[in-house]
Parts: sequence; structure tokens; C-alpha cells
Amino acid sequence: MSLLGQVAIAGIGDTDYAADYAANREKETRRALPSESAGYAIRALRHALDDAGLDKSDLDGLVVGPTLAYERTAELAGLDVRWAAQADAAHAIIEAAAAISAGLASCVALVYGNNQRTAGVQYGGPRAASGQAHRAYVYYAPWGLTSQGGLYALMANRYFQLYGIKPADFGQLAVRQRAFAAQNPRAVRREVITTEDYLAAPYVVEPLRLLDYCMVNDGGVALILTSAKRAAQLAKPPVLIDGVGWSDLNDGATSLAPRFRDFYHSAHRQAADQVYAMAGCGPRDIDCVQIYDSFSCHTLFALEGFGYCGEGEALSYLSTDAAPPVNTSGGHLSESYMQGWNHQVEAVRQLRGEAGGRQVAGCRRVQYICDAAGKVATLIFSGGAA
Amino acid sequence: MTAAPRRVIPGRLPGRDDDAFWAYLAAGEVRIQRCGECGQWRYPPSPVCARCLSEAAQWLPVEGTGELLSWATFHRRYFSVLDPPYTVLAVALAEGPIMCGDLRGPDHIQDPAELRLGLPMRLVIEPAVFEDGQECSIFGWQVAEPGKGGTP
Repeated sequence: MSLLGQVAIAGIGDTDYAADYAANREKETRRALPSESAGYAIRALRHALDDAGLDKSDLDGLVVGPTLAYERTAELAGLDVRWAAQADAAHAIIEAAAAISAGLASCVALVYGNNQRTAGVQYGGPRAASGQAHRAYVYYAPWGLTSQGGLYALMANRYFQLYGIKPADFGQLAVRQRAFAAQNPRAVRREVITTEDYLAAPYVVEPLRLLDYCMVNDGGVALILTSAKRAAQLAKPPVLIDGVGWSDLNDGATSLAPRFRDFYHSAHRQAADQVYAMAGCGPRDIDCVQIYDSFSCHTLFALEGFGYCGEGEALSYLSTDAAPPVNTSGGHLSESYMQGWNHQVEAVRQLRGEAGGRQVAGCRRVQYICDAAGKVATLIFSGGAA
Repeated sequence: MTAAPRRVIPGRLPGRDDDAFWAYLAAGEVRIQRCGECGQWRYPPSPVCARCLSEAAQWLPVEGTGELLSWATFHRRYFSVLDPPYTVLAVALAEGPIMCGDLRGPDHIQDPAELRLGLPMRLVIEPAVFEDGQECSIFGWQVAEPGKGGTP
């Protein structure tokens, strides 16, 4: 079965990450921050409905992100729906698109909210978030090994050792994303950084430095999905979902075996085969790539696993003209850590031609790739306004 | 004669299979499970063989040698009882499973700059105490043949 061109993103919304981060940091009371995660999600939902030219009474489906409780979120938004699910960014889009194409819902809101900064969420140590879902984040505490960052540092170091990577070259990932963020007024981190700045940044878990890590900030994202036909009647040019791919690695997850075996490439390849066959295109046809980047090194594993370049070649590939721009909003490193959701908004902005100073000229196809903890999902979007 | 102070370590996850692992360790042995039906070795401890779904297993001692897959050095503090920097390693045991642990000295190299992929490593067991005061033992990893570089 193919989803090619049947379902569209008709509306996008997000919160003002930079202003909320500053207010949070300075304990500023003049700017009202939502009192709970769902408040951020609903603030973004309001923007997304306005963007699409829809009213909330038009919605008959809802997907909430993993940090939200479904009933609570729907209650706060006053939403009674006929279909609902809870899923991560790419999976939320895949499930909503499948539901729309199966006739279970016609107009679905996908919402994410996270008050992780205000709430002091810890991603490592004795109270590491997601330790229930991902045992490896907490299992090795007696030896001091904890956090998704610690696990990606082990993967990154293996990659460094196998391919002789130099820190200054690796640092270009963070430097390049920050340069995009400097062109994005919504980004939390907009000051340009140099290779020297990168090399002067402290290690968190070596070889990963603070500038290789995502931020921890509050915010919300919302998307409105509907049929391509209906989207064509709405306020903004539709962004079509041309293909999806999904392949998860769970066997040996706590032992870290799939990380060291091949940097998750077996799942990358399966998801790549699925998405490119469905969308009828390949890496060379993609104008812009959005990659889930809780850490900079995700970019290398994703580009190599999806066939943009050979194994061990991503850093040199990215320095050539053949490489598409990656994480043009600044991504999790510099725009906002919305666990893959802000990447969908950036894909839509690029395809609508709304990306301002960071706009990719002639952008017609954008790919999103996520491989968090070996759960690989990918999407290819198309649009023609840029 | 006074025993050297035990190193204090963060607490472990509870669970019946892990209880058995730590009990063997406290008695001075690293034992892991081997499937009673298909013979597959497994670690971390678990109630069932992920290959054949058999619940039958024996706890058998490992040779205690393996090959270095990767390492990373923690510079940020995550646990009140562990002072950074310290280095953690992933080692492929001779029996097959991967065992993560920390790099131990002082008899052998502790400087992670001397580590290389594929370096032969050896398990060492030391007395320790969990942060809640419960005495235990913990394993760590040492370079098996210090001075000999591994092949990347």
C-alpha cells in the first residue's frame, strides 16, 4: 500500500522557543509560561489552526506526543474526537496518515508539548527520563554509564576510531547547524560559533561536547493533517506526504549490540528501501534533510544508513556541494529540543518558502530521518511553493 | 589489619535475575546465563532466551576476557558518589554477549588515550558498597596485556 500524495500537512504551529527559554532562564515573571506540558501543546495547536484556516470543531482526530497524557490534553483543548493515538513525531504522522487514508478520521491534530526545562527533567543519572522505556539509560548506573548521551558517545567514539575522525572536522556539524540557527528568529541559540569555539566547549561524555548535545528547553508543536484534496482548499499550500518508512531494532537493546554492530544501519536500510520505493525517488532527489539530532553524531549515522554517502564518509560528503542542507532550523542542537517535532515544522516551512534567510532555493522535496535508540522512522514530503 | 575502604557505587536496578547475578559477583565470580535449550549466552540477565524463548537457563562462569568495542569518558557528574572524569567501556565477551563496565587500575593503564578498538581486555572484581550501604562486589575492565596496542 502506498500513501503517496494522499495526505497533506495543512497547518503548522509552534511556540516562541527563544522567548520562553529567556523567560525561564531569567525567572522572568512578565512572560506567562504554560503551567504544564499540555499548555505548550495547545498554544501551538491554536497557531496551527490559524495557519490552516480551520476551527477546532473541524478536528475529528488527535495524536499526542509521548510526553503528554491523551485524556488530559484533549480535555484541556475541549476536543472530543473519533480517533486518537499517542506517538512520537514521525510515527504520529505515519499513524495519522494511515488513519486518514483508512477513513477513520478526516482532519487530525498532532500535538506535542514539553515543559522539561521548567520541570527540571533529567536525561541521565538516578532519575533519568525514559528509563522505563529504554532500560540501557539506567541499567549500567553502578558503573557510571547512563543517559542517551553516554550511549551515543560510545557509538561516536567507535565511529571516530574506525574512521580516524578528527574533533575539528566533527565539530563542523555543530558549527553548520548554528549558522542556520542564526538565520532563524525562533531558535534558542543564534550566536554564530567557530571551530575554535567548538573545540573550547567542555566535554559532557567524551568525545561529545556540550555543543554536540541538544538543549533542554520548553515548547510545543502542532500539525494539522488532512486529505490532500481537502488541504488544497485551505489557507496554505499543502505539503504532501510522499512516502514513509519504519524499522525498529529492539533485539539486544540494553546490551547495546545494535549500536555497535552497525550504528543501526540494518534498520536504516530497511526504512530507506520502504520510503524511497513509496516516494519514487532517492537521496539525490532530496533538497533538504531534517535529522533527529539529540546529538550531532546522529547526522552521520543517518546519512550513511540512508545511502546519501558511504560508511565513514559523511563528514567529507557534507563538505561537498553534492550534500543537501541538513537541519536548516538549527535542529535540536540550536533551535529547540522538541524531540523531532520541530523538524516537521521546518520541513513544511522550507517547502512553503517560509524559511526566510535560511530558505533552501527551489526546495521541492524534504526528507526527515529519526533513529533514536534504534527506532528508525523516515518521511518524505513534497511541495512546490518554494 | 584494616581492609581498604570499599568503593561506593550507585544503586542497581532491582529484579530476580539481576539479584542472582549480583549474588554470584559478591561471591567472587562473574556468572551469566546460558540458555538451557539452545545454548545461547546472554547478558544482561533476563527471564527468557531472546533466541528460542526458553525459560530454562544455567548460570555459568565466564572466561573473563573480551575485545574492546568502544569507550567514552564521563566529564559531567551524573551520580553523587562518582567523581568525574571516569571512563566506561563496552567489551565483547569471548562467550559473545557485550558487557559494559568501567576502566580500572591502578596496576594497568587507566589513561583512555592508550585504548584501541579490538584491544584484549580482562574482567577484574573488586569489593564495593552500594550508596545505600549494602556491601557488594563489582566488576570492571583492565587491559589484558598492557603495553601491547590493539589492532583497530
